[in-house]
Amino acid sequence: MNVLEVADLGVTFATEDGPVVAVDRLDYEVREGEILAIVGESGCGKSVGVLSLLGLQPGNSTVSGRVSYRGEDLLTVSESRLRGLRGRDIAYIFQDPMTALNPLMTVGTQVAETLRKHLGMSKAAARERVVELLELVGIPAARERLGVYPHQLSGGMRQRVMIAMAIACDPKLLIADEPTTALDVTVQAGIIETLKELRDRLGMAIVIITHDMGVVADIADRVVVMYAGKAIESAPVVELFAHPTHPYTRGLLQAVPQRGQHATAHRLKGISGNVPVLRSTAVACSFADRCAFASDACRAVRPEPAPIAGAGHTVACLHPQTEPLLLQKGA
Amino acid sequence: MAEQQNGDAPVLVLRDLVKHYQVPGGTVRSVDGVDLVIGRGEIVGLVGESGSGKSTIGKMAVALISPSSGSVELDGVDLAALPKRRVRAMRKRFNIVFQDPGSSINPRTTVGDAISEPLRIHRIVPRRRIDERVAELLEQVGLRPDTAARYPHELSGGQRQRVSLARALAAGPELLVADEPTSALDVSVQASVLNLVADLQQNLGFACLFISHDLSAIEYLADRIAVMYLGRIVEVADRRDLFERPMHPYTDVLLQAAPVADPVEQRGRERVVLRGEIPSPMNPPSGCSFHPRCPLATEVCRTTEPALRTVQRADGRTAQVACHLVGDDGVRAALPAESVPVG
Ligand SMILES: Nc1ncnc2c1ncn2[C@@H]1O[C@H](COP(=O)(O)OP(=O)(O)OP(=O)(O)O)[C@@H](O)[C@H]1O
Ligand SMILES: Nc1ncnc2c1ncn2[C@@H]1O[C@H](COP(=O)(O)OP(=O)(O)OP(=O)(O)O)[C@@H](O)[C@H]1O
Ligand SMILES: [Mg+2]
Ligand SMILES: [Mg+2]
Repeated sequence: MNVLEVADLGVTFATEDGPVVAVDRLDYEVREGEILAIVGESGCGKSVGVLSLLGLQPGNSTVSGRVSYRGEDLLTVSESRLRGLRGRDIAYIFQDPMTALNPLMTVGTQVAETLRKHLGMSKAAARERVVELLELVGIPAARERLGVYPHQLSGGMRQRVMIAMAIACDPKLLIADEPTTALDVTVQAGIIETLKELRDRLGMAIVIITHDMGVVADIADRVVVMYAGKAIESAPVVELFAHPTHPYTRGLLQAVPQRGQHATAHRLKGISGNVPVLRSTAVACSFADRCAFASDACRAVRPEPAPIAGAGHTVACLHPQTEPLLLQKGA
Repeated sequence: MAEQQNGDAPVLVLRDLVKHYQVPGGTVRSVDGVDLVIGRGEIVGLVGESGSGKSTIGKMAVALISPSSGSVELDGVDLAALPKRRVRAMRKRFNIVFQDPGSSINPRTTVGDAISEPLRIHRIVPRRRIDERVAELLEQVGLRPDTAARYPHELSGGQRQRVSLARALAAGPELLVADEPTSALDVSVQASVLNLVADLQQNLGFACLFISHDLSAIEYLADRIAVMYLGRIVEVADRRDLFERPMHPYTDVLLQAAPVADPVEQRGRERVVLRGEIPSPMNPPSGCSFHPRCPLATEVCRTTEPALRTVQRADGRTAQVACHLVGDDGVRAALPAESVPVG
């Protein structure tokens, strides 16, 4: 069963220089117990896209399309219904912990508040559960730290406090926006284990936004690649890494530094150029100006996602690439 | 600038640096005796456990917080001996990119004003060339020049992070402390930022303390790498050696825990999970602070704290390590197979 269905989602900002389309007719769905990874270039609309699901987008924006959570259209339900869902059924791990945590409230009180509000726990019970949760995410001396403020924690500890808060009420859908960027890889491995375990035990669905291809390879069942506000390629994880087809996806995978490469002998391959700023919904391929394979047709029509060989694999490209991807190995 | 430089002296010398904080639950030993030298034009990677004290070192290195004890020397000058005003003037030559880009840029100024501020304060370029220089800096970090007119809250996480980097680079620092400068960037944008840092080093002799959890970025960029665990440096080695032959068991575990960007390989791999209790910086274990989680720990590890000492490898290169189990040739027994459980 699909927990979440996003169809034709659009988010447009009103700015001083006119409208900016950050999410441009985005479609995807997530099944119960599925872990979906969203990857894509910085600024392509990943965060805005997930914030708008529960009405958390910045004020100067308008949202259109359909967002169905277990059959309920979230774009039309009341604000009080959204408040009831947030943190309880659908929980977020926000990209920037420093702005998401309350700087004036101790860590212990902040996490306990979630438990008390949504689960009606007593003060004492909530406190014990907070210690458990902080230990689960690997915060050393958890009990001694209940009384500290966010600025007294390291970047990675703040991130883990947010993770603890998000999983506190066993949500049915967890939206994790870059949840492990401040964690070393051993702590990250523990968090990934914890998330998988929650999925297995509770059937929790997870949407994880990450730029770390190792994390994608480790945790995702399926991957959506975004570019300029759209899903340009989507496939089960093994299929995507084996047969990346969109020129942007291929560029992304080729940009990962390989073992043994060093700046003195090797130059990393980025993707030259910048993401375009869309003033209205795209009527051509948004990647065409940066693409080595672009033809006149790419600048004349917008490619729509279409199935290609490989189960569950779709790509929005007029010139899908099927050659195996060669990654340059280091010395 | 040349007359301010002190010959070939290192850009940064940290000596027995300590930072302790008092919190309601006790004393946090954030940094507990760290020595580190960064040469002119050298990129040193700083990696290690989350909470091990990396950001605290970075802030002390550019005089944003003062050490509890120990000293920081920038270009041969002991920071403790300088009046505040002189320290501020040095900000042009020594700068930092904060780990949390959201909280480090003023929400009320445009991106252009934020980046041009150091250019104006330190009079780096003539007034009429400021806009041009801002556009150039934005382009170097992969942002469109028209980003200058926008406010921080109108940007994505990775865009804000690049604004912080452009601002830190504006004054052309001799030393940059870059605290997780690419953590919010996708790999293609990260590639251009890493290339930029490498170019600055090669063309301008710029030095950098590059703090990151991304081991592939560190391997690509760093000349030397220091590994931290619980407030201490446990290993310092040339980048060619660290990834091939990690000496400290923690380094070994860390390298093995990095996920591989290949789902088939990654899922077939043995997963490294550190066993044992997570040590607390408020009450560090006796002896070697890694011993409760170290699969090789012996009696001496439980009782005696290992000093960071110099070893010489078979190939002649030297390195430093704080582990009783590593010989003077930098060699240690392999981690036992069961510490690397099949996943
Ligand atoms: N309040 C706002 N006003 C105008 N534009 C905005 C606003 N918030 C975000 N944007 C723009 O919307 C686009 C999408 O932003 P979003 O934060 O979703 O990117 P992202 O894909 O999450 O990037 P990153 O990987 O860097 O976090 C960006 O180009 C950003 O500049
Ligand atoms: N102002 C403060 N007051 C009290 N404790 C602090 C303060 N700043 C840092 N600490 C503590 O010092 C220790 C080291 O923190 P630091 O931020 O240097 O770690 P880090 O290595 O940068 O970690 P991360 O990789 O998670 O960013 C942590 O235990 C942290 O909680
Ligand atoms: Mg984002
Ligand atoms: Mg830090």
